[in-house]
Amino acid sequence: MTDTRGRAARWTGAALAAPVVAGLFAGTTAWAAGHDPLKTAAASPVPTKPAAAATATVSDATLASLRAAVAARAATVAQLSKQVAALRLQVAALNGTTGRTTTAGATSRSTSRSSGSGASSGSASKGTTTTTAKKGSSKPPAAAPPPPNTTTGASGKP
Amino acid sequence: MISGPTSPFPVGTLAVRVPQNHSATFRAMATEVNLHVVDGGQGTPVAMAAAEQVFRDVEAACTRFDPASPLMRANGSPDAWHEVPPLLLAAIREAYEAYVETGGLFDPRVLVTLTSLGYDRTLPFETKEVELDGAAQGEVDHPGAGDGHRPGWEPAFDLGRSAVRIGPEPIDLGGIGKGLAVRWAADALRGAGRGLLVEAGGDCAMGGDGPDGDRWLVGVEDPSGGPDPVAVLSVRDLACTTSSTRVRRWRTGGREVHHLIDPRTLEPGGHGLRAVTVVQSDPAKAEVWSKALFLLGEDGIAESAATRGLVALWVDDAGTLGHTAAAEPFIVCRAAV
Repeated sequence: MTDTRGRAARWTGAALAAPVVAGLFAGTTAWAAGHDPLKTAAASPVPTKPAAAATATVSDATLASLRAAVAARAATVAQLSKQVAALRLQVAALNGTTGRTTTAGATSRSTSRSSGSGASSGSASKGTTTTTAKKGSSKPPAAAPPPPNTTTGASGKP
Repeated sequence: MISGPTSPFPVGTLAVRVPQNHSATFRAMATEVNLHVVDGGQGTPVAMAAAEQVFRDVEAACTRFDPASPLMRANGSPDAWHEVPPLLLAAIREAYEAYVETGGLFDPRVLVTLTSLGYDRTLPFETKEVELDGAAQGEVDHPGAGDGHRPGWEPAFDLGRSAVRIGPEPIDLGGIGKGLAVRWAADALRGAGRGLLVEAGGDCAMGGDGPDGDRWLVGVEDPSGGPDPVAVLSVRDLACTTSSTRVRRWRTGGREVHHLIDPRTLEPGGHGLRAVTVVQSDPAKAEVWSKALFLLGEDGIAESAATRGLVALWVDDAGTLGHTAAAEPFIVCRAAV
């Protein structure tokens, strides 16, 4: 049970972290899209030197610096993108692919008051959850379920 | 048939010990049985042979498809005392405990109904749709059947003589027999490796570590026949069983019937449900409760399962997946059904 609760805590952490990381990702992407390094260079203070020479010297130095900054941020964006993708998968797995909260055409009914305490039948744990996903209803792409080690089902294989 | 180890490396060629997984697949009790030991040792093949023998012994003692089996000999004159193998005696006692625990929802006396519906022999459910021409239509001669005053089941046991008096009606131990075989086979495999799996016709017991971690992932079959499970459960040292009408259903007397008979009506039960899965520490108990909950139908299953604190999942005729709150910690993935 401790492990189960720890797993639930990790899932909850992942669910909470996902929007934050997604926000970071969106913000960084917006910043990168809205900033033209050349435009920034042109707006920078320029020493009073002969025009041609000053422009060449400052542009080269600033451009190199900005290119390095852009490259660094692009790497950060790529890393955040991976984190967002991974977290989205985790959240999808956590919520289930029938989309208890997101699937179009699905309904959710939960009278749960407890998450239950295990498989023993000793302690009564009231509450049931029903998830509906009728065939033909539109739904987001389902994340692939983890490959099971075995299957429980009807007596006998078809 | 036992195979293994499955390691691609010849034993002794590596400095570190390579985990060795042992697997066996065979048919018993009218279904396919799979055994698996994770990271087994030298004694694993012996343990696996013992586990397979468990299934052979339970089948020999408890089958209703062999008129010479100890069960069928006792069923032949159920009101008389019969000395039976200890294994059969244990199985009947377990069945009686289940009958009491479920308030009669689990009742092995439904055998007469099953046979009246034509399920009096092994039928090829797994290979084709079964249609029985000219079979009876479920009109059975149970004392008190249909008037709500059916007498309770009161078998008698003589443990000293390993004897039983089943009477007055014959019994079927198919479902609970399989659960018991899974339990006893798992006991035979315990200690043979870092983890174990016994699976028989959809009933499974998992012990210790799984092949990919400290838990086992169990797919809950889609009862409509879809290729993907409706849910994936993560379990350790637990059993999962499912009562479903997906396979063991047939047509007889112009109607479709299945093998899960409601002892209250003596008709195929579980109105509105396709399948019920129960997770329990013991596979025989799980088998009993998956059947009992199924018979409650879609109107009664949620409250009854929750009240008893059972870890249960079910799929109804509309394709709705439901489960108790107690099942939530075990569900790692839900899929559309």
